[in-house]
Amino acid sequence: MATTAPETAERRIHYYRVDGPASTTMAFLSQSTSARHSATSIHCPFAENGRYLSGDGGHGDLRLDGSLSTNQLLFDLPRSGAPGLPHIEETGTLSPLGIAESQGIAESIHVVLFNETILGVPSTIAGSEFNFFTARVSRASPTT
Amino acid sequence: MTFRPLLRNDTREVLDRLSDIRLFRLRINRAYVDEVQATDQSLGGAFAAASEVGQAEDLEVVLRPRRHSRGRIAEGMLGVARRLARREDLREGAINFEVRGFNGVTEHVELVDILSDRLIATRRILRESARSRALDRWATYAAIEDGYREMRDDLVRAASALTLP
Repeated sequence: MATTAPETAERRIHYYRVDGPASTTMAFLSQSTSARHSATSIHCPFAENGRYLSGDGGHGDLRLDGSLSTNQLLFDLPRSGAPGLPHIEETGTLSPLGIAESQGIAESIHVVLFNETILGVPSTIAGSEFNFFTARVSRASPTT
Repeated sequence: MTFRPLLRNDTREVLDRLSDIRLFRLRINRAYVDEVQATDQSLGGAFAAASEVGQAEDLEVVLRPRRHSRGRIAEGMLGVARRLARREDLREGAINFEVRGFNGVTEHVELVDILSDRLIATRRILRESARSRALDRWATYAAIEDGYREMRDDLVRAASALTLP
């Protein structure tokens, strides 16, 4: 019996220059969020599923995966919570997406940091896939 | 701390040498309309209007001269093209960006693919499941690292150029 090939998706991966070594960049990113419309001050406490900060005023929650090695980061940023959720459709019949009030729909981006010495200066090159539906790493903003 | 996209800058240099413009073709993600509007109100307005009408994710504007108009479009579009090309976030929002014009150095009409200088790796990445858009975490990290290894010399060269005054 023939097996079905795993589903894949084509993604563009962008690379960036960041001043400072990867450890500094990691510290910066772990205290930032680059949600499209706002920057939220993040000081993530550790929680069961990694570092997690509950959003405020519609800024959304941020989860930093705590199980990763030092140069890899995963940002989960909610795309939408209620209101703003899509419907479920079945043979033309629409029904509400049955998720709890406290839940939302999340989109992720992955970031890998590479240590480089650029013209004698410790620097970072960061790589991240482009996801149309969520944050861009180039919009990471410093926190207070 | 800022994240600056790594680029080869050769196409921008060619664009700077054009003395007129005979074709302007820009295709963007819908999410990039605000940035185009910040660069040029009129062009951004055209994209915004198209976005409202069509609800499409990709939008395109193509400007060509009328026949028998000496083959050029409004001079101001050359400045718009140069300003857009200098935007550091262009590669994130634009899908296609081509300009044709007269290169005063080579004395030829040339087509400039503005986005061809981007240092971007394109990879097929495993999804978490057949029905999900979410990517497998480890496959994504591996793809990012693979692209980095493949383009490392170019990336370091581009990063070095960014430090020059």
